[in-house]
Amino acid sequence: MKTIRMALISVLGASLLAAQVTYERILDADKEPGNWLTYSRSYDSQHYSPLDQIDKSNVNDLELKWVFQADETTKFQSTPLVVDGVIYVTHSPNDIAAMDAATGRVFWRYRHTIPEGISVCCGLVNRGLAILGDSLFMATIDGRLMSFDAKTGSIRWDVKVVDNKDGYALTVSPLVVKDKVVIGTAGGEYGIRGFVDAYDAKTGKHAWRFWTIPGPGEPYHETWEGDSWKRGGGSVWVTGSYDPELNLMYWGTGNPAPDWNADVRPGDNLYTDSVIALDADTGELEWHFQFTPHDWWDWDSVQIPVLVDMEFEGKQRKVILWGNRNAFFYVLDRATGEFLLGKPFAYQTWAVGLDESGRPIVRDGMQPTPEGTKVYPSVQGATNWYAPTYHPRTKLFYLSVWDRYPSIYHKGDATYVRGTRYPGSFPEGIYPDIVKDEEIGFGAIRAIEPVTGERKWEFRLTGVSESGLLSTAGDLIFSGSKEGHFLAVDVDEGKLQWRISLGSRMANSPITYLADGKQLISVASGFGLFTFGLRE
Amino acid sequence: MRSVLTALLAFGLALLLPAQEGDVENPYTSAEDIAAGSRIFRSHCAVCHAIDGSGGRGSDLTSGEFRHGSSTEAIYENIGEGIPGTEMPATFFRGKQLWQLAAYVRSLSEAPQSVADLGVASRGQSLFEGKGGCRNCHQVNGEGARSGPELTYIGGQRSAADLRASLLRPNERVLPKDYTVSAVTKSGQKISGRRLNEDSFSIQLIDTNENLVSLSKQDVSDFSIDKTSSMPAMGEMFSEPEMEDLLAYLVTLQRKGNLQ
Ligand code: HEC
Ligand code: HEC
Repeated sequence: MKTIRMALISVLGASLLAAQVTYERILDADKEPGNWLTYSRSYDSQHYSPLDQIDKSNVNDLELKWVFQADETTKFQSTPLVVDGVIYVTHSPNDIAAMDAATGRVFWRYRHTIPEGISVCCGLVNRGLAILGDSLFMATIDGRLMSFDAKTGSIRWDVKVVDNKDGYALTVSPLVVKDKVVIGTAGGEYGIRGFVDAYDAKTGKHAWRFWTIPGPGEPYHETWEGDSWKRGGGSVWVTGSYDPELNLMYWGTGNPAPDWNADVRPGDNLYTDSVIALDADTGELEWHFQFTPHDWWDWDSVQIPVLVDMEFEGKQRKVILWGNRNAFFYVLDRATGEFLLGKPFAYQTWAVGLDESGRPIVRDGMQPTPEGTKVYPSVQGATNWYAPTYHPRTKLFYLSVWDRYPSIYHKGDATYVRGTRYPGSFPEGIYPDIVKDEEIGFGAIRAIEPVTGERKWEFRLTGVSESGLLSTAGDLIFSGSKEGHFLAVDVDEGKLQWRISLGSRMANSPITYLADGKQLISVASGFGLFTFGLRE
Repeated sequence: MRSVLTALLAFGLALLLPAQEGDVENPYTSAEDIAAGSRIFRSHCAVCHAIDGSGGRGSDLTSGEFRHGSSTEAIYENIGEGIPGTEMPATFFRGKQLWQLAAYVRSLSEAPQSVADLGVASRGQSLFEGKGGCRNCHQVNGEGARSGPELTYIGGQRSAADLRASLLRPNERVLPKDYTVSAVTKSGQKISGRRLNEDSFSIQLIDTNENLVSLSKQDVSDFSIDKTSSMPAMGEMFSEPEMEDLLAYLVTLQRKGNLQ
C-alpha cells in the first residue's frame, strides 16, 4: 500500500508536465474522472462523475476515511478541487488547505487576513478555487483576486478587483477558460452594479469586464429609470459553465437592487435574474434570457447552468437546463437563447404561467406591501445556488427543492447609502416554530424529465436542504440535508440507498474522485469536510 | 461568530462609545427614527411581541424591565443576535435599522402604561398546585410532571393575555415542539407523547411515562401527529377572579435577576 503511494508520487514528480493542469485537461475532464479540476468538475456543469466503484451493491460499505476540520465557524460552502492526489479546499474567510486526498493530512495552508469592517450580506463565505498550470486562483471577500503556487501556497499575484466600501464582495469560485480566470461579484443587497470580469491567469492583468447592468448608450439601458442602474444589483456569485464549440460562457445573474422595493427601478431591469451568454475571449454578450423581469422578491438566477445535448421535439439541440429560484424549470437553446420549455417544479403563487417567449405572467397582488404580502416560493426560493445534476444514462435532471415555503414580503424604505444594505425592507421568513404546521413546507430531491418538465420521482425530507447533488455512473445521487444527514438515493427511482448523520447542515455540493485508485466522496457538514470510501 | 457590536464599531460608530462599556449611545433616536423602528417592529416582531409590544408569544417589552440587559448596548445585541437558548431569534437587521428598532423598543417602556390588574399570585399558586391539577402535566421549579411543556419561566416568555388565551383556548396556538405523536411499533406497542424533535428518518419524544423515546419512522406502522392540545380548556374550571389569580401566579414565573 505504502509503496504504491510512493511509486505513484514519484511517477508524478518525475513528469512535471503531468502536474500541470492545462486548459486541455479541464476540457477533457471525462478522460480523468479521478480528478475534480473545476467547480462543477466539467465545463458542462452536470455535476456528474463517471466513477462507478461505488454503486447500489456496495454503498452500504461506505465508511468515514477522514475529516478535515476548518477551525472557523462560518457556513462551509466551498467545493474542493482534486488534482492528482491533492485536494484543495477553501474555508472562511479565505483560507486554503492543500491536503493528501487519501488521508486528509495537510501539505500546506494559506491564511488570509481580512481588514476590519468588511460588510457582507450572508457571512464570510467562499465557494472554492480554480486551477490552471500549477496556479490556484481564489477571489476574496475583501475584493481581491489572488493566484497561488499550488505546491506551496505562496502568493503569485494579488490584484484588487473591487472595494468592499462600495458594497462589493467576492465569494465565487473562479472559472478558468483558456488562459483567463473569470469571476463575478457578490453584493446584490448593497446596491452594487454587477459584472463578470476576466483576468490573465499568468499575470493577473485585467482582460475584460461585462457589466450586468447596461450603462448609458448600451442596449437595454432603457430597462432602468434615472440613476437606478448605478446601483441595480445583478451580482454574479456562482460559477458559470462553458461550451467550447460555441465558445460561449453562461453565467446566472442575481437580483435587482433594492430587493423588495421595485418602485425605484421601473422597467425590466436587465440583465438581472437572467442567464447571459458571453463570448469567452472578449466578454461580449451573445444573448440573454431573463427569468424574472422586474423582480420584487429577490429571486437571484444564480444557479449553475447545466449544459446538455439532447433531442427536443425531434431536433438535436444544445440546451441549458435551469431550475430557477422562482420555482420554474426552464429548457433554453444555448446557441440562441431561445426558450423551449418552462414549467413549475414546486408550488408557486406569483405567476399565472409563462408566455410563449418564457416571460412570466405575474399574478395581480403579489408585490410586497408595507403590511406584507404572502408569496410562494419564499425568499430562499424553490431552489437556490447549490448544484443540480444531470445523469447521462437516465437523461433526467435532479435538484434540491424547497416546496411550499412562503415568505411575507414587505416593501419599505429604499434610501441608498454607499456600502450599506440597500434592500428596500426585509421579507419575513415563515419559521417552522412561529406558524402553524400546515403553512410549513418540506425539502425534496426531485427528478425532472427535461423534454416534458414532468416530475419522475421525489425523495422527501422533513426539513429542507442547502446541499447540492452529485450523480455518478454508479447510478447514485449523493446529497445532504439541513438536519445533517448525508445520503444516497438511486438515480432511477429515488429510493434511499444509504445514509449517515454528520450532525450538521450540508451547505455545499458533494464531489467524488480517486485517491490511490479508490473512489472517495467528500462533503462539508458544519465546519468540517467529511470524506467517505468503501470499507476494505 | 462576529458579534453585532464589532460590526457596529466597523460602522464607524466607535466614536460614540464612551469610556464606560455598556453605555453606547443610540445615534438614531429622533421621532422619525422611532417611527421607522415601529414600522419594522410591526412587520417583524409583532408576531411574537404583539403590535403594541405588550407581549404574546414573546415577552412584554413595555414594562421597563429587560431581563436580558437594559443597557442600550444589550438591547441592540439582543435584537441583532437573538437570545441564545430562548425563542428570541436573531434578525437580519444591522446598523441604522437595528438602532431604530432599539430606539422603538426603548420608547415602549418610556410611554406611560396601564398596569394590568391581575389577581393575587399566592392564591393562583394554590389553584395551580391544587384544583387546577396543572402539575399533573407541567413542571415548575422541578415539581410536577413533564408531559406538558415546562412552565418555570413562562411568565417572562409570554404576556398575560397570551397566557390567558392558552388556558381558555389551548388549540389556538400549539407550538410544533408541543405536538402529540402517536405511533404503533411493528411489535404492536402503542407509544404516545410530546414531540421533542423530528427529522426525515426518526422522531424523538417524551412519552406519557416520561421516558425519552426515539423512534425510527420505518419501524413504526401507524404514525400520526396531533396538532391539537391535550390540555383541557380552563374556562369552565375557574371563575374569572380565579383566572386572574392564576395568571398573576404564572406571570411571576420568571428568571430572577439580570441575565446579561
Ligand atoms: C419567535 C418569536 C419572537 C420574535 C419574532 C421576536 N421575539 Fe423578541 N423575544 C421573544 C421571546 C420568547 C423573548 C423572551 C426570551 C426569554 O427570556 O426567554 C424575547 C425577548 C426579547 C427582548 C429582550 C427582553 C428582555 O427582557 O431583556 C427584546 C429586546 C426583544 N425580544 C425584541 C425583539 C424585537 C425588536 C424583535 C423584532 C426584530 C423581536 N424581539 C422578535 C420572541 C420573539
Ligand atoms: C392534561 C395535561 C395538562 C394539564 C392538566 C394542564 N396542561 Fe397546560 N399544557 C399541556 C400541554 C400538552 C400543553 C402544550 C400544548 C399547548 O400549548 O396547549 C400545555 C400548554 C400550556 C401553556 C402554554 C405554554 C406555552 O409554551 O405557551 C400554559 C400557560 C399552560 N399549559 C398552563 C397550564 C395551567 C395553568 C394548568 C392548570 C390550570 C395546565 N396548564 C394544565 C397539558 C396540560
